[in-house]
Amino acid sequence: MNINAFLESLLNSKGRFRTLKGVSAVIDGDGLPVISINGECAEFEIMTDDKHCFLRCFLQQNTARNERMREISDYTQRIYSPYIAPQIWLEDEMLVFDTLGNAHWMDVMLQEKPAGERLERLFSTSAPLVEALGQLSEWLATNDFSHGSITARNIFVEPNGTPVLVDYTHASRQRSDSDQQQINSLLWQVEADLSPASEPLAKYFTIGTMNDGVMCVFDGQQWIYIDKDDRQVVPGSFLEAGDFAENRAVVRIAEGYGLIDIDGRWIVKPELDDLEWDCNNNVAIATLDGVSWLVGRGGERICNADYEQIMSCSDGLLAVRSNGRYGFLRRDGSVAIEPKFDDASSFCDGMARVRIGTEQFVIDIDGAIIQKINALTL
Amino acid sequence: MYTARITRKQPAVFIFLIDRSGSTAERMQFCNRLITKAEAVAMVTNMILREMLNRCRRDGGIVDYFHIAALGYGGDGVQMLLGKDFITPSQLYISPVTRKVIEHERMFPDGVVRYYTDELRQWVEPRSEGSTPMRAAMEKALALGRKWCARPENRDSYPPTIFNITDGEASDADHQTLREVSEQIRCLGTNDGTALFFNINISASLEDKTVLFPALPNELPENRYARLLYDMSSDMPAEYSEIIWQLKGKIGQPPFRAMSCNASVADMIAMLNIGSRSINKIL
Repeated sequence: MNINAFLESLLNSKGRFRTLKGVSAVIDGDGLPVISINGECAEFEIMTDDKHCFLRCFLQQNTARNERMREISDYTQRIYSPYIAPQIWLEDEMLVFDTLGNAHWMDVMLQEKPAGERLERLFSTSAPLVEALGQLSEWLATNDFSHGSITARNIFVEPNGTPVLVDYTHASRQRSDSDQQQINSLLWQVEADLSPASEPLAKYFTIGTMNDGVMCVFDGQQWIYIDKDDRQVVPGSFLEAGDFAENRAVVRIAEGYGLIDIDGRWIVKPELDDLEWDCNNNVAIATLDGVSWLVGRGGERICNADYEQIMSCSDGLLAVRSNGRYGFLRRDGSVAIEPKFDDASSFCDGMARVRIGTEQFVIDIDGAIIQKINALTL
Repeated sequence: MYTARITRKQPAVFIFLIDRSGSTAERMQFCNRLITKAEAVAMVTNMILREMLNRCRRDGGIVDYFHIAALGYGGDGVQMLLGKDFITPSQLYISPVTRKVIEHERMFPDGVVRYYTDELRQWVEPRSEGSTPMRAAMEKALALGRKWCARPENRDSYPPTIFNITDGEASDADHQTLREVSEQIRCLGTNDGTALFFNINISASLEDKTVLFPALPNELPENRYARLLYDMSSDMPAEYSEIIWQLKGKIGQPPFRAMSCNASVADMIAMLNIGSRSINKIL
């Protein structure tokens, strides 16, 4: 079942729910239903009977999982705990139509959304949380319940400071040490005030990885680079931006791709059709008008010839194609193995696969053939 | 093998090859409507792209779990349909494309029929023109796949999934050449396995024998082209066997071959749904 099938039922809820009343999807600032996908589980935020809830729908049928969900639902309804959000497993609750128009009654998990904020948004005001998380940890240690996925996203902190667990998709009735380990990890993050970089997601459309103290973020129109305090630290805005690595990042503006340093200076002018930066080997692969060459860390050209294709560096060598033949360059741009093969893969563990005519071989980094391959076994 | 989870640092790649030759103007049946093959393929591809985009939604943002390329072949050669080479879901989301309103008929269990409209973004537009340069498209897909697999950061990713959706024979190569290029495509791979190359042959005829995921050549109709598609396509990994076996009506023994012959629109949807099941591997 695909997500759009569930969305259609949520947005046209009349006659689509067996027991739930007044179901409507919660809509975000862009006018889209609030969805989060976690593996096979699609989590929608909905209103039903004026309660704000999570509706969890499963994209694939799984009898064992359904049985576990039923068991967890029964258990959490029988016990009282301030750390547990009320939830109920509803069988054959939601009518969903597949792509071909066939109707299916789907099981769903409904869970009340706790008041308060997700823990991941509260790291900077963490002081009262340490004790509360400790109490949650104690409760888990004395109950036959394992959450299975305790993250800063899956804990809501109510206004009175109580941490409430949500999303029991991975829960089971067996106590587990992994819950304690996950809480310990969270405690460490809270005490160290290390935000897991989820806060910018609330503001930005998508984010990159924090490297060299900066990360790229996209606000729906342009990419910029910010630090962990959300300050723009690299001048300029871009149509595309890659993560910084060793003080270099590939970006694109209207004129083309280029390479910048952390001060926003152009190391390679933005006039290329493609550019791939390899921080581990301090080389970039530049492409313009179907021709590729190697560029060094300083932006200088480091190979003598042009190539039809240069593949990423592996084991210190880059596979290249010249006049339809494949060979290998060293990362300083010098030729390691002349282009003489009809096909070649990148090196891996000191070996690469090459083809001459219809025969395939394994070669070493000196270009010597060390094995002939039976193509049928590939 | 074929067990790698999909993460932002370890994305999966999908490449669609779409036949846009003149013959795709022929009409075929879909949900009580007659639409051209080109419209059917574009619609189904756009639905798959929308599903991939939806799978990447997290807390109001989009996380780029996939690299996607779509190539059309027909008319004046091979066209990149989603930009220069690969596109990410966040780029897909902001790309300015038209929307097509599709009306769905829904028969409720109490017999009531209701109609709903759905706005489907047209990342891939239907087009039917000229010949069928399939070899050129496969070579372009091979180059894209090779470039993607060569990136060290993709070494442990789920292997490439490549769909070739066509209604006829290539006009730019003989069978032997197509076999050779497809073998190179199937040899692409990561540490998690070799590429999965699907060849989906669609047909407007309701009388021709339909074959989906054959296990053996003797399931094929008696023609050279069906055998070619069989030879071009990948063996499906064991973890797909159960769902394919169910689709086939519990007939045949694995390994199943990633191909169809004379497939209807519904068959095409079923094949693409199975072929894109790796999107469930998002961690």
